[in-house]
Amino acid sequence: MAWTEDGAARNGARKYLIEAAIVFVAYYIAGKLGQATTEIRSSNLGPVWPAYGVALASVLRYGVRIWPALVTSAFLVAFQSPVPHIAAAGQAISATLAAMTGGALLKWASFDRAISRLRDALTLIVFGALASAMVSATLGVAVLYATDVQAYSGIGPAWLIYWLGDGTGVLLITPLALTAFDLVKFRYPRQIAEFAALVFLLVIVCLAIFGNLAPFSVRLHVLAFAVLPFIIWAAVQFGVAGVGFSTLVVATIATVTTALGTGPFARNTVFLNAALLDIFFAVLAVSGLCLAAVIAERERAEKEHARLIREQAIMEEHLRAAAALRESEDKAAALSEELAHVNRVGMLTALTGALAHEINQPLTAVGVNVETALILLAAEPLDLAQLRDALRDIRSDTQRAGDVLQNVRTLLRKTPPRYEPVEINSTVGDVVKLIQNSAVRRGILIDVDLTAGMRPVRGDRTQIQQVVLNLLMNACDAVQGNERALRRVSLRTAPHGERIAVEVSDKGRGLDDDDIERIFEPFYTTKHDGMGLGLSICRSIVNAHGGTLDARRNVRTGMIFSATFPLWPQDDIAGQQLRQA
Amino acid sequence: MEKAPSNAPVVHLLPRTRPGQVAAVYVIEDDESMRRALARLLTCSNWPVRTFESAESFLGEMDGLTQGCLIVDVGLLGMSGIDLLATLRYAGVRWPFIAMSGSHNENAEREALALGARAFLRKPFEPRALLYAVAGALS
Repeated sequence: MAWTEDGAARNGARKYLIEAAIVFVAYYIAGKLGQATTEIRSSNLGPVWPAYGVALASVLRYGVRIWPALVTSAFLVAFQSPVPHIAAAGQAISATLAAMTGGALLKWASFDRAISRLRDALTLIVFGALASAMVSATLGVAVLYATDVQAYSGIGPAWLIYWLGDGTGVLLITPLALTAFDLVKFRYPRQIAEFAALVFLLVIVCLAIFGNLAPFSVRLHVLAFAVLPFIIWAAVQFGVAGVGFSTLVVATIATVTTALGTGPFARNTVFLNAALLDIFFAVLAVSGLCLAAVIAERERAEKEHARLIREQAIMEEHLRAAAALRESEDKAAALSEELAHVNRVGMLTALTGALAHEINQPLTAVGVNVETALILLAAEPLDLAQLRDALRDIRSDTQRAGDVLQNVRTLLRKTPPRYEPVEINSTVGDVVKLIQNSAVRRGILIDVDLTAGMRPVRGDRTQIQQVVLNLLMNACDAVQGNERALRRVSLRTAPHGERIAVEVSDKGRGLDDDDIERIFEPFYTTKHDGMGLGLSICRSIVNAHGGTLDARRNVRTGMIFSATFPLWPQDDIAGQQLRQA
Repeated sequence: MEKAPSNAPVVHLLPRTRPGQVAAVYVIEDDESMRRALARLLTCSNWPVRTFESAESFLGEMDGLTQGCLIVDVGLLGMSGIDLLATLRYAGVRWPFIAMSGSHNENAEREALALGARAFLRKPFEPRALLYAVAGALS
C-alpha cells in the first residue's frame, strides 16, 4: 500500500536527519575540544583528537551513509581554525575517508559493536585505532603539506602526532560512544553508587597526580599508572563502557593539566609531552578494553552455558510432558476401545434370545436329519438318495450355526481397530443375519437394498458392523410401537462420492430438532432404558474411519441415519484383489 | 411319555397306522431347512407329509386337506403359530396339533397348551419325541 511506503520513507528520512544531526553536533563538540587542547590542530597538533573517535563511532553505528554529516562538521571545525579553506576541505575529506576505511575494515573483520569479545576489542585496536588512524594521518598530513601548512618541525613528527592523536581519539571515544547506553542501563542503586565512587576517586587521584594537589612534589611519569587500578576496577565492574568513561576522565584531566603545565607530562617539549600522553592513554585504553572484553566474553559464555542448561531442563520437561501426554492418549484410546467393546457386548446381550434361536434352528434340523439317517440305515432297501440329502442338509446346517457363532465372535473380539479393505455389502449382510431373527420375532421387517459392484471401503470390519448393528437396533426399537404393517426398517448401501453410504431408515416417530442436535452426545438418549452411548460411540468410530455419521428426518415420519466410509484407494493391490475375489 | 431304548431303530417301536387309512401330517414352519428335515423324517417314518411355510399359506389350502396332525412353529413370520391355532379353534377345527418353539417363551407355551396342544417341543428337541407325539395324536 502506497501510503505506508510513503510513511516508511518519511520515517526513514526523519531518522536519518536525526542521526546526521547527532553526528554533526558530536563531531563538532569533539573537534572543538580537540582544538582546545592546542591552539591550531594543523600547526600545533594536540595530543588527542577525539573528533576522529566520534567519526569512526558514527560510521560503525550508522553506516557509511552518514558521511555528509561528517564531512560538513569536519569542514566547519577546520574552517574555524586558521588554516586555508582548501586545507580545511582536504582535512574534512581525509578524516571522513579514513573513518569510512576504518568502518569497512572493521566490518570486514566482523567487528561486533557490543565489544563483548576479546576479538572485537583487538580488531577495534588494530583496525580502528592503528590502521584507520594511519590512513587519517597520511591523508591529513599530505593535505597540510600540499597546502603549505607547516606543523611541528617536520613531516615525520607531524605524521606521528597526527596518527597518535587520531588513534588515541579512537581508543578513548569509540568504545564509549558505542557502549554508552550500557551505563544508563544500571539497574541497582548500589551499582550507581559504586560507579559514582569510582569516578570520584579517579578524579581525586588524577588531580593528585596531574594537578598541583599532590601532597608530594615528586613528578615521575610512572606515577601516572596509579590510575591503572581504577581502570581495572571499571573493567571488572562496569565493562567496556566503564573503561571508556574512566579513561576519558583520565585523559581529560591529564590533557588539561598538562596543557596548564602541571603533572608528570608537562616537563618536556610539546611534541614529547603529546606523544607520551598519547602512549599513556593508549596503554590504559588497550589494557582496560581487552580486560573488559575478556570478562564480558567469559560472562557471556557462562550465561550461554546457564541458558543451555536451562534449555536442556526445559527440553527434558517437554519430553516428559510429551511422554505423559502420549501415555494418557494411549489410555484414552484403550478406554474408548474398551467402551466400544462394552457396547458390542451389550448389543449382543440384547440379541441373546434371537441368537439362541438362530443357533437352535439349524441344531434342531441337524438332530432331525441325524435321526432320519438312522431310520434310513435301518430300513431295507437302503435309500441312498435320501440319506445323501439328509447328510448334505446336516452339512449346510452345521455351517449355518457356525456362521452365526463366527459373527458373534467377530463382534465380541477385543482387538485394536485394523483398517483394511472391507467389502461393505457382505459386512452389513452379516449384521442383518445377526439381527434378522430378533426383528422377525418382534414382527419387524428389514428391507435390504444393497448396491452391487462397489469398491471396498477402508475400515475395520468389526467396527463397521458395530455401527450398522447399532443403527439397525435403534431403528427396530423406533418402529416397535408401530402397527404391524408399519414395523419396517430399511438398510441401503450406495456410493456417495469418494465414500460409500450405509443408510438405515425407519418409520418410527422420529426425533425433534433438539434431539437431532444432541443425539450424538454421550449420555443423551431418547429411550427410557438407554444409556445414551451407542450413537456417540458410533460417531467416534466413524470419525476415526474418516467418515461421517449424520441423522435426518425421513419422509413423513421416522429417521434416516447415514454413515459414510471412505473408499479404499483404487490403486491399492489388496483392495483390487478383494474386489476380484 | 414312554421312553424308547436309545440305540434301537425307533421306527419299529412306533404305532403304525394301517396303509390306506394313513392320516396326513402338516408341517407349518418358516425355516426352510427345518421344514425339509421334518418332512424327511416324517416321510421316512411312513407318514404322508405336506409342508407350509406360513400360517397364511396353510389356511389358504386347508379346505382341500384331509384331517391330520399339525406341527406348528409358534413363532411364525406373519401370522404366528398361536394365532393360527386360535383361529382354527375359533373356526371349530379340532385337528390335533403339536407346537414347536425356537426360543424359550413361557407365554407361547402356556397359550399353546391351553389351546389343546398335544405336545410343546422346545428346539432343539429329541426327534423321537416328535414322532411319539405324532403317533399319539393320530392313533
